[in-house]
Amino acid sequence: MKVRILRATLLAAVLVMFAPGAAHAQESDDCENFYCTAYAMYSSGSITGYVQYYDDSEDWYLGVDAYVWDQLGNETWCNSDEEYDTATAYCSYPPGSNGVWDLVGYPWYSLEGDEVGDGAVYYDVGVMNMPSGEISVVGPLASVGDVFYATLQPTSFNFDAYQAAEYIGSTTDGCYNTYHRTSQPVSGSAAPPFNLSNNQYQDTVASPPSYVAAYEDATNQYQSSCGWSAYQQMSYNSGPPYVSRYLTQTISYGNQVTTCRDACTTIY
Amino acid sequence: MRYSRSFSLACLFCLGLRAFCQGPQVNSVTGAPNYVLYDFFFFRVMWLQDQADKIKAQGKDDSQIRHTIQQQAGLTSQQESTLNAIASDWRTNNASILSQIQTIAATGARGPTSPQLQALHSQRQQLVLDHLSQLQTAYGPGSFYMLDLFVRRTTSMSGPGVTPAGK
Repeated sequence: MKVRILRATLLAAVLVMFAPGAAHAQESDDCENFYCTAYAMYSSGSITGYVQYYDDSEDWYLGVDAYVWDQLGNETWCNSDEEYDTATAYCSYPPGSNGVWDLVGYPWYSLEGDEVGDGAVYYDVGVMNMPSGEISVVGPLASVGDVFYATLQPTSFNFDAYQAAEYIGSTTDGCYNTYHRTSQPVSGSAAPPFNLSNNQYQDTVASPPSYVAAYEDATNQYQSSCGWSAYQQMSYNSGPPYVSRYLTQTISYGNQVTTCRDACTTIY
Repeated sequence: MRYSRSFSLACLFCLGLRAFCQGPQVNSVTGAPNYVLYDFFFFRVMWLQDQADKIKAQGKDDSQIRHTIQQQAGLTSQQESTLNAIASDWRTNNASILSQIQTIAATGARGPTSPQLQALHSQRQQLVLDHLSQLQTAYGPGSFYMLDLFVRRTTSMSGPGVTPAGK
């Protein structure tokens, strides 16, 4: 904020020097009068985003200052590259703190050389560092009544969190024949079947898999696969962004290879 | 290989179902003219491609960022390619207009009193609308409707009369 104020002050001083008659500077919320947008993403330990300003009345754009604010109100100043109507902000994210952060951009500009104003625009970006978990191994092929356990960490967030487990039957040709899922928000309560004391989610196969031997490969061997997928999702105020962590166990029937994979972490 | 493919498809399946079945209700941005909304959206498409290029240049996996819009909006590969091509063409022409605006503005001209700047800003608006029309034609009514919902749902913006999404 200090930098923004300093820059605005310097700008005002320059305008006063070079624009006689433009002796006052005043603040206004440009993002109520003009169009502003923000977008951000988390990648490789950093939040990168941009703030953009659409000037519908042909004014001259000057700059954008950007910060990232966490849920506790701590702010991180973002370096930014500025162009005519866009600034890309680069913030290094403090590791070890999961959460949904706000990218807050302040576009500021001069109008006819005698006014300096700014406004704010926000974008939530979700960050989840190093969640972990495991899915218990079930038999080579699941059947009705089999119980599935998933354990996911971490489970404590200061905003809405969703725990979900789902059963996916899939053939190796990409056809999905069976699907079963349950989910419910768990923030602040231990809604069964999720147990907050041991972070364990239990689910039971409720419909028979119908994918067996649905695929014939080039070697004339029938193969199919099925899997369990558990994911943890969090969001802030029930809106975007969603941060999801997927744990998937895929079981191949035919060659009897059982693997457990942890992948498909999505942050957007 | 087959395993990997099956797994990837399963993940996409999860994402798709999650988006339709499990995600909380989200407001859509309203009150913004299309030439602003899609100016922002085309910019977002190209910005993500730029970020993916940077990651690729570092020898890292760029696929997640490169296909962000495709995955989030549920686009086919062909629809993704079409969107990228249209957005890329928009950016090239938009950059040309912005360059002219900057050149004229550097002489001290300002929009409210400069017919030249006003004409360029009109061109800029029309450029977006032309490319929006291309997108509508290429996608067809049903697919474009879904994309438009996605654009309005995922655009964070402020402005006169704008009701922001998701806040």
